[in-house]
Amino acid sequence: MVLLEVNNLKTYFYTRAGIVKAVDDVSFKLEKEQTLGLAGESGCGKTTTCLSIMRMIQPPGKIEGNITYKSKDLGKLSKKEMKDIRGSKISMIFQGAMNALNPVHRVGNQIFEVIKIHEPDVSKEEGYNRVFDVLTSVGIDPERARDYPHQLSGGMQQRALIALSLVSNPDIIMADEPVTALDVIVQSQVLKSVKSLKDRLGLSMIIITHDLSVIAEICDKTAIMYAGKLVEFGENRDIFKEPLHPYTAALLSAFPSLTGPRMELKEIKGAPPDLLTPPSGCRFHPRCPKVMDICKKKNPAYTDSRKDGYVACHLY
Amino acid sequence: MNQDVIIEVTNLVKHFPLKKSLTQTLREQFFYRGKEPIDLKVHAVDKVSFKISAGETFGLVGESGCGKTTVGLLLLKLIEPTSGVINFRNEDISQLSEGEIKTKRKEMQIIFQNPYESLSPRFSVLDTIAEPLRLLKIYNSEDEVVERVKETLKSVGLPQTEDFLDRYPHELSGGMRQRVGVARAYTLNPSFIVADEPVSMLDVSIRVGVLRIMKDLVKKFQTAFLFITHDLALARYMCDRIGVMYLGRIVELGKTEDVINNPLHPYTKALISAVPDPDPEATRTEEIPIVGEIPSGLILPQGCRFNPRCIYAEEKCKETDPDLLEADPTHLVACIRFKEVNNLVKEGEVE
Repeated sequence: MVLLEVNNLKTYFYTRAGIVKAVDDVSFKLEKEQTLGLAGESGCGKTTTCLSIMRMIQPPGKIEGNITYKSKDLGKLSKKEMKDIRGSKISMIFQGAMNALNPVHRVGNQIFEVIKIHEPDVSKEEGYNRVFDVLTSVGIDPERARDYPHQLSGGMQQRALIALSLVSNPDIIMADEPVTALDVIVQSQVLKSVKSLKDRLGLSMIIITHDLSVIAEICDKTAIMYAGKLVEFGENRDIFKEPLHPYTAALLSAFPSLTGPRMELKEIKGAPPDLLTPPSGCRFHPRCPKVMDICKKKNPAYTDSRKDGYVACHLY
Repeated sequence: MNQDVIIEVTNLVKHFPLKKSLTQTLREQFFYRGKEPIDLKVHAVDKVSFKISAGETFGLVGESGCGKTTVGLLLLKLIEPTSGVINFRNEDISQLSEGEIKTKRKEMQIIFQNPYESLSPRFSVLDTIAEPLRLLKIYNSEDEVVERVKETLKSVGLPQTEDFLDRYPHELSGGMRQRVGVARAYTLNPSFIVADEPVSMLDVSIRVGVLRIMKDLVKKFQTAFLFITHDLALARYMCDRIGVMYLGRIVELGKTEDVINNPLHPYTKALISAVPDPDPEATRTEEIPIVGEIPSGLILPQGCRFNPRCIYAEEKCKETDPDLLEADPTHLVACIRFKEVNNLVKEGEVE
C-alpha cells in the first residue's frame, strides 16, 4: 500500500539573486512499513524535500507538485488540517540532537508537550504514562524523564528525540541525519534501536543521510539526489550492487570500506554546482565520466530501470 | 638509533587539572562519598608512546574525547605536556622553551579539520600560502616566494594562474579550501605533519581528491604524517600503522591491516564491529561486545580503563592498568587477558 506519493515536487526559492531550484522535479513513493533512504551530498535538496512534505517551507520558498498522503493532497489542505497531520501523522526527527531539544525544559515535559498539542484533552497521568512508555521503548530509563537535555549523553539525546517523534504514533517518520553527530559505537546502538522499533511498530520511515553505509544498514529503498534532482531510485540491493547512474556509482566507489580488499578510491572531479545557475541539461554532466553531447542539452527523463526503480540518465 | 624515525614519543602524559573552586563544588555535589579524592584532573593523554618514520602515515583513531587531538597538539608543542619525552629528529623537544621551539616549528605543520574556519577570510590564496615563507624570510625576493607558492599549488592539484592566487577563501569550494590548507602545510617542506580530521567537513565526492593528494605528498616528500580520525575506514585507506585510543591511552597499536582484520583488544573489536558497512547484504553477524558508555576522564575506573565496559573483564583487570604488551613484534595491545580473550573467541566459533 502506498502511503506517501510525491509527484514532480518542485521547491524553488525566489531570492533577490535569482531562483534557487533547491528541489527540482522529484518523484518517489513510500509504501507502508518501508524505509526509504534519501542520500546525497550537502546542498542537494534532501532536507528541503522533507520539509516540503511537511509544508514547512517559508517564503521566499514555494512548493509545486503533488504530495499525496493516504489519497489526500497535502498541498490542498488548509493550514489547520495540515497542522493535524504534521507532527501526529507525519513527524520529523531533526538534525543534531544536541540542538534540537530545548535546553531549559525537562526531557519528559518536552515529550508530554507533543501529546498535549495533538490531544488537548489528555490527562496528566495518562500523558506521562505514555511518555514513560515511549522512553522505555527507545531504551531510556523512564526516570531520566526528569533530566534536562544536558544531563543526557549524545546517544540518549538522540534516543529522546526519536521518542519525541514516536509519541504521537505517526504513520511516517522522517529522520534528518539521525546518527551523523554520534560516535560509531553509539551510532550502531541507535541504529539498532531504530531498526527494532521499525520492525515492532511497523513504521514507515524516510531517512536522510549523506552516509551510504547507514542506508545499507537499515533501508529498503534508496533515492539518490544530486543538485536538487533525484537521479536514481530503487531497491537497496540493486543500487548498491549495480548502480546505474554514473553519480551513484561514483559515490559508492568514493566510500572507503572496512572489510574486503583495500581498494583505491575514485574521485569525482569538480564540485557540486551552484543551484542559482545549474548547468544546462543533466546537472551532473560537467562531472560525469560518461558524458555525451545530449547530456549538455537535454535534461534526462526518468527511465524505468528495474523492478520498482528508475534512473534519470541518457545512458538508459 | 634508527635514522628514519622522525618523531618518537615515550610515555607522553597530559593532565588538565580542574580549577580549585570548581573542584570544591564538584566534590561537594558529586564525588563526596566518605572518601575525598586527592586531586581532580582530566586525564586527556596518559602514557602514550609511538613513533613515526619518514614517509609513514600513522593513524590515531578513537571516539570523541579519547585524547587523539590532544596528542596532535602535544607533538606540535601547541600545548605543554605534563610529562614524557617527545623526540623530534633525535632531539627532545618536550622541555624546549617557547622561543626555542619556534625554530623547530618550520619543520612541523598542521592541517586543520575545518577549512571553512582555518583559512583567514582576509588573506588571498597567495598570502595564505606565502605567509610562512615571508615570516621566516626563506627567500630574498617576492618573485621567488610566488614561484614557490605556485609550485606548492601545483603539487596539490590547484590552478597556478594569477587570478587564482588573488582569490579569497569565500570564492573557493570546500575541497579547494582544504587543498589550500594542505598547500599551506607543505610550503615549508616540513618533515612532520599533523592532520586533524582533515576531510570530516568535506562531502564524499570531494573527499577522495584531498585524501589522495595527502597520500601522494607523504610519499613524495617522505613526510612523517600523523592522521587523526574517528573513521576507521578512512584510517584504513590512509595509514600504514594505526593506534586505537580509549580514554587517553593507546589500547592497540599495529599495522593497519593487522589491527583491522585481527583486532586483539576488546575495545578495538567493539569499535570495528560497530562500523556500518556500505553493503546491504553484509549482515551483522555478532552483537557489539560492549556495555555502557564512556566514563568521564575525570574519575577513571580502577585498573584497566576499559574494564567496566568490557565483556571479558575479570577481577585482575581491576587491579592493573596494563601497558602495551607485545602480541607480536609489530602488534601491541594493552590488555592483560588478550591471549585468553582471543582464544575464547576462537573456541566460541568452534562450538
